[in-house]
Amino acid sequence: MDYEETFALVEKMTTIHTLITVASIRQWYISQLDVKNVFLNGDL
Amino acid sequence: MAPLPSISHDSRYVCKLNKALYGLKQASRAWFEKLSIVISSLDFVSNSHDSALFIKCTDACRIILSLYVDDMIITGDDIDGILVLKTKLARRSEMKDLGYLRYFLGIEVAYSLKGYLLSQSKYVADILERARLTENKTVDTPIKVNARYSSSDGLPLIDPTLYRIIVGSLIYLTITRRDIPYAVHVVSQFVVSPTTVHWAAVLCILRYLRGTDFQSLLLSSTSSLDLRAYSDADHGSDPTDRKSVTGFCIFLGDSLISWKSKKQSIVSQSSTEAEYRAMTSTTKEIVWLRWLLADMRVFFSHPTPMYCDN
Repeated sequence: MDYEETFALVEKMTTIHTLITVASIRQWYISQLDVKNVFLNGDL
Repeated sequence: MAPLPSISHDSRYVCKLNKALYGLKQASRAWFEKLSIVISSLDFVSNSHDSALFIKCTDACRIILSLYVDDMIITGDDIDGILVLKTKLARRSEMKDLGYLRYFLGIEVAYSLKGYLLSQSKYVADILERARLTENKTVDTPIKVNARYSSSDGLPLIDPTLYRIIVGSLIYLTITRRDIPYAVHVVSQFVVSPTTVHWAAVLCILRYLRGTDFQSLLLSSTSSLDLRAYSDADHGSDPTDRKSVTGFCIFLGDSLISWKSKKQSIVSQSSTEAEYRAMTSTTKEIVWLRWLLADMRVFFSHPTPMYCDN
């Protein structure tokens, strides 16, 4: 187990704004998924 | 970790964790690793310009998946591919299909013929309640014109925690409120030892928000896909360290997609130098955005115009 490795990636908000704008202009359907059991599956 | 009280154990021994648990500082990392393996196994490639964005390209179509901890947004021009992807994801991990994008990371998303409207009005109400702002006074601007603050103004707050909570929340609010980043960047410089004067500046932002909590960000569906940027800087406005402030906003068509208000890291010796520093940081953002947009299949045949104040 590595105690130092704690960095997790999250998306930049600018990316999300850009993505929604492009999808909006291109008429792409935007769908949303929610993942359950967030912390039950990961191995360290 | 400390074992459960019901388990008898020798106090000289400790437990060894085999799996990530909720609340560990490594948990979020373990989670991201796990999910990216699942997504990568479905022929998605992590984008080199934003690693939490995954793209799958086929002959003529592409699917774009954006991951924010346990929230996922999926879009693209391959409608059948998206349906297949959802089925495959559901088989690999427990997922809930929330359908059309409506509520994401505390951001309310509304769709109209004009485009998507992003708002955080519920979040604004929560902040006002948390700050225990009971009076109904409103102000027209989030910060007074030419206001200058320094760390020695006023008397230290007895409990700086509330100040930090509110400022942290205001930073999150800048996702949809592009009218407050400058004011928020000013008050966030004093979180270490806030004073009564700084708290008054925070209250000013909150009173402004109370009068404008209906405002939202429109990401237009009817505009062109042209990129343009506006850059500006002041000069030596901070009375203590004489550093200048960079500001920029970048539009994709009519939609504001990127903005910033940030103190420069080096003292600029002239207003020209301060403007150049601001333009450098704007240019870096433009270059990155053009790369990102190219991956979303938005290409530009001409350079991006950047407007600045000379």
